Amino acid sequence: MPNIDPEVLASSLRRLERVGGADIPSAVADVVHAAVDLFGVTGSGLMVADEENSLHYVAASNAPSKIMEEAQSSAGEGPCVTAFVLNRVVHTDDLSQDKRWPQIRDTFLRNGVVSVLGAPVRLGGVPVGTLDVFLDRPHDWDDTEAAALQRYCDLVESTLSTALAAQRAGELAGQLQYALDYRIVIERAVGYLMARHETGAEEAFTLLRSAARSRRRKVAEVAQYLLDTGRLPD
Amino acid sequence: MPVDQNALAASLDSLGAAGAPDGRTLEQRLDQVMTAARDMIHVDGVGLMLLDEAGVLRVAGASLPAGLALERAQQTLDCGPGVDCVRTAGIVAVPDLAASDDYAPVWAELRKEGEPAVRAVLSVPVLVGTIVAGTLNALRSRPHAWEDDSVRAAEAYAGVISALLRLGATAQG
Repeated sequence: MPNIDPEVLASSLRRLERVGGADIPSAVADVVHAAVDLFGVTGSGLMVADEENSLHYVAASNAPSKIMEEAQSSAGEGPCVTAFVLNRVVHTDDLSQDKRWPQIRDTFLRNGVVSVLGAPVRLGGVPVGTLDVFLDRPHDWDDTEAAALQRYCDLVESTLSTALAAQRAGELAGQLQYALDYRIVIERAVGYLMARHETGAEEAFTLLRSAARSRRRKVAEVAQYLLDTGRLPD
Repeated sequence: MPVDQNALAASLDSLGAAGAPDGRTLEQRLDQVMTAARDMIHVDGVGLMLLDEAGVLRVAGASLPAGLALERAQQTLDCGPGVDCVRTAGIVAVPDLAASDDYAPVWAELRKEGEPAVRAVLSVPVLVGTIVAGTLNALRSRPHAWEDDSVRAAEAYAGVISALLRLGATAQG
C-alpha cells in the first residue's frame, strides 16, 4: 500500500491552485472518459439517482452513451437501472438477443449499443448511481471485467466524494439540500417489502415506486411511512 | 461529450448534505487509486511523483520499497524516466533499466543498495489541463516490454489522479 506524503501533496495542491481553479464537471468527466481507455470499450457513462431514486444522466463519453442513459432514465428500465436496484453488476452480452428491457432495446441497438456492463456507484456503501461501459458489438462479459468495473466504481466514488468537498468549498456550499439518509430509508423499505412479500429487490422497488406515484408522494416519504407504520400509506 | 453541468450540480447537491460519506482523506484516495492501478495493470508496484510549489519533482508515494528507492534516485539525480516524463509531458517506457544508456546513472545509484528490484518502468504524465502535475510510474521487477494496453491503463489511472488533484486543490482553496 503506498503512503502518500501529505507535505508533498499539499505543496502540489498549492501549485495547482495557483495555476488555475479546478473545474468540477471536467474532473468528473475525465474519470468517466478514462473508463473507455481502461476497458477498451466504445463508450461509458455515469448516472446518479435523484431523490425519487430515478437515475439521471450526468456524464457520458460520447453521443450513443448519452442517448443510452437518457433512454433508461425516461423508461425507468435498462441494464443500469437493474444494476442500481439490485446493487450489483449487471450485463447484457448481446442486446438483440436479450428480452429483459423491451422499452429501451430498439433505441440502444439503433445507436450502436449492443453489449453493456453496468455497475452500482456507491457512497458510504449506499448505491447512488451507476457507471456503465458498452461495446458496439456482442461481447461475453466475464467475471474479471465485472470485478474490474466494480473496482473502478470505487474510484468514481472517491471522485464524487472529493467533488462534494470541492463543491462545499465553493459557491454552491449553501445549496446543499438532501442527505444521503433518504437513500438509506429507501433501501431499508425495499428490504422490508422483500421480506414481507417474499419477492426480489426489483419487484419490491417497483411496488414502492408505484405506491408513491399513485399517492403523488415522494418515494422517500412513502418508504419512511412504511418503516414507521409497517404498511404503505392509504 | 460534455458533462450535463446542471445534472451534475444537482446530483452533488443531493448527495452532499450528509458530508463526506466515508471521511477519507485525499491522501487515502490517492493511495486507493495507486493500489488499483498496481492490481489492474498487473505490475509489481507503482510510484507517484508530484511537482511542488517551486516546480521541484518530489516523491509523493510508492507501493513498495524498491519503488521508493527508484523515485528517490530520480529525485536525487534529476534523471530517470519519471523526470523525462514530466519534462516532456510524454510517456516514457523503459523495458530494462539495466540496459538503458539514458538512465545508467539511475541504475548505478540503485545498485549501491544491492541488486535492484526494479527493472522495467513505465512513466505516464499526470496532466491537469495543459499543466504537468507529476508522473505515475508503473514498475516491474523483471525486464518487460510494455504493451499498448498497459500504457492506456496507466494513462487512465493518471487521469483519475489528475481529477482528484484538481478537486483537492479546489476543496483546499
